[in-house]
Amino acid sequence: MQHDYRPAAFRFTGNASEYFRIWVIHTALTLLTLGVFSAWAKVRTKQYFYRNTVVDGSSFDYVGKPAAVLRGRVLAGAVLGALFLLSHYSLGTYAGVLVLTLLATPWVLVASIGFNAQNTLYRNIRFHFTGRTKEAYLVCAKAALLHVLSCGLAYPYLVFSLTRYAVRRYRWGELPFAWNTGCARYFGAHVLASCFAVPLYLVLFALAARAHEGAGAGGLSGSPVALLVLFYAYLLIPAAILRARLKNLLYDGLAVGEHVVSANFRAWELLKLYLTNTLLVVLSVGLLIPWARVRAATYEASCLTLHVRGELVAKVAPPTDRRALGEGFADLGDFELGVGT
Amino acid sequence: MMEFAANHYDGVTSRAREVSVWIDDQDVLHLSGVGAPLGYSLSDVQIAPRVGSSFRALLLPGGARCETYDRRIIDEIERRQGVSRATAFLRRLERNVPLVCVVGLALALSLVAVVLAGIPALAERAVRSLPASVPQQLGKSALNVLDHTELRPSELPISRRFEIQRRFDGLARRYPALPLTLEFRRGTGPNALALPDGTVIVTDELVEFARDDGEILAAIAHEIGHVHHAHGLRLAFESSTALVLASTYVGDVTAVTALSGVLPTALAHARYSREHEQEADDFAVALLVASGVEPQHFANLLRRLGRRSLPDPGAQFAYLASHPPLPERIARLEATSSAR
Repeated sequence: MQHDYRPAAFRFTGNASEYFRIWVIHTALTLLTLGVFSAWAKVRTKQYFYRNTVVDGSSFDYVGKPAAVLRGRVLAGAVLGALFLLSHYSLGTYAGVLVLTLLATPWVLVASIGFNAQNTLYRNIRFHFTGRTKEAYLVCAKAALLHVLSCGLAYPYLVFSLTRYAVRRYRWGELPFAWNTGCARYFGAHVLASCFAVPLYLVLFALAARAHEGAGAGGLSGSPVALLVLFYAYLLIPAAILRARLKNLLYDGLAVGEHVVSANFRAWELLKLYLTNTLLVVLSVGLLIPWARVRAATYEASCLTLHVRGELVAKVAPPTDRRALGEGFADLGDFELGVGT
Repeated sequence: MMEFAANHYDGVTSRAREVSVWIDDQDVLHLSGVGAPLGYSLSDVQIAPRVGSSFRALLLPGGARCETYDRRIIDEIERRQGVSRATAFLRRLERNVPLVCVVGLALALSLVAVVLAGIPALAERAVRSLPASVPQQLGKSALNVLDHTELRPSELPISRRFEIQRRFDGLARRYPALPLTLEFRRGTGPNALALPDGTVIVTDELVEFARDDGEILAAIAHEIGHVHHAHGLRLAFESSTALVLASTYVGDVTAVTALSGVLPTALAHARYSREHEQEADDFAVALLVASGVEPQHFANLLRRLGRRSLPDPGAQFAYLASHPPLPERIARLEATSSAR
């Protein structure tokens, strides 16, 4: 019996200049087709990023159909459009549709995760999401209730519980995912980030108060805009701290069958990444977005290692199981919105 | 006839098998290395469309897959099968580096054009199409909030208020279409504000600070300019549209942060704000001249206000300032004043 693990580092093999070409053509075509091409753009972008993510000598692949993505987007867009129009006419109908949309969120969540899992391949074995809608509703309802009752203090629990639900229901072929991270560490991460954010608010109040009495010609001159930018810039620090911790909590200890993932995201590296990416994007009027994405993907891959016990092997899930695993989602559509070029 | 190496995944387990692939003259794809040699008609074999230069995959009937980094076999199959026109078109576009550079530049330039010119034009149209009740409501609620927070009732003597009101009416008479009203309040230092419903607020401190009534009128004229151009509402439209545009363009937030959407929006907002201030300044000079008030008063007022207020931390970042830098403003005012 083998008891030792051999490490297999994740790698991202894409490069920015190559992706830049893809991104430019995607963006231009999306604009020219008034958004219709965005479904193809999304699929191709995912293919580029998945196929360039390598572990143990093989890469992932994305096999989602653009038509399905387009269907999902049109549906989601129609709902949002209806909400927008209704908001101008009848407040009652608007509220009603809003409530319906909120209620549909767990279902949409399950459908999207399912669609994306189903269409992800590694060594020609698909991933699956076995989450059931009813379960999703229970998880969401419980978390939301706690969140409201605690006036937001239970937010880390919300994040933890949704993460746990999503991760534990994943499978690669018939290999189940296992995840045993505790809730306490989620609270710890959020508290730490808040410790950095709270001084910011205090300083902000102080500055705002000073600006008030100092600005003799308030309506005639003054600059709250600079304050806003500084605010967001400083907020990158707790954001990086939180993000690094959350990613480590998610990936470190995640098990796929007998194999285990380890992660070492560092807040400092993320902070540098965010700052430089933001500067790149803003100074280049968005042209360097591909560079920002490739840098982020490269860093993320470099933090992850899969510890393989024996051979990295999985069998395809049995056919009867597959239907229960929500294979229907593969055709339903992807509901994620955004340009996703 | 060339043989190529590939990894074969049968789709039942994830185990890879190294195979050799070759195609014969009858368009049959041969595989050896998976037990008995296999042959597939080329028409049954699909190729996953290429994106970038990652591995290529051959999709075999029955759900099996061959993955290879050897592009030659794929190129050969594509040559025989033919490639869909859409795929060929996309590929040609992406490979054409000069085209990509030109399109990239065009994207950046058009984005700049939309932000600098497109959004303001759109905002102006949008504001004009609003029913009059909207600015009225906004103005009323804004005054309500101000009265409950920063402003207190005026303590100026009634005769003084009456005098300024009379001169205000003189200015307002030139724009009968605008619903202009004058309000006096105390608080927030020497200041004048314009609300969307046409209310112009003048603070007691401004009246006391002014050395000449012309200076008060200059400030009022500037605020009337804001009302005339509906700057309050326009800025709201412009900023929110800029924010939506920036967020959509940047897209995926995990690679960059919210700051990448906020920073461009803040820059755009500041720029729109500065343009509005300049419009209001120019309007003020014209109105003052037309009403027989010496426009130099405005420059004098700004100069003295500039000396009085503490250095503004935001003033360091010229691109984020909501007003043009004070020296520039004063110079421009004096230039336009003397030109009349």
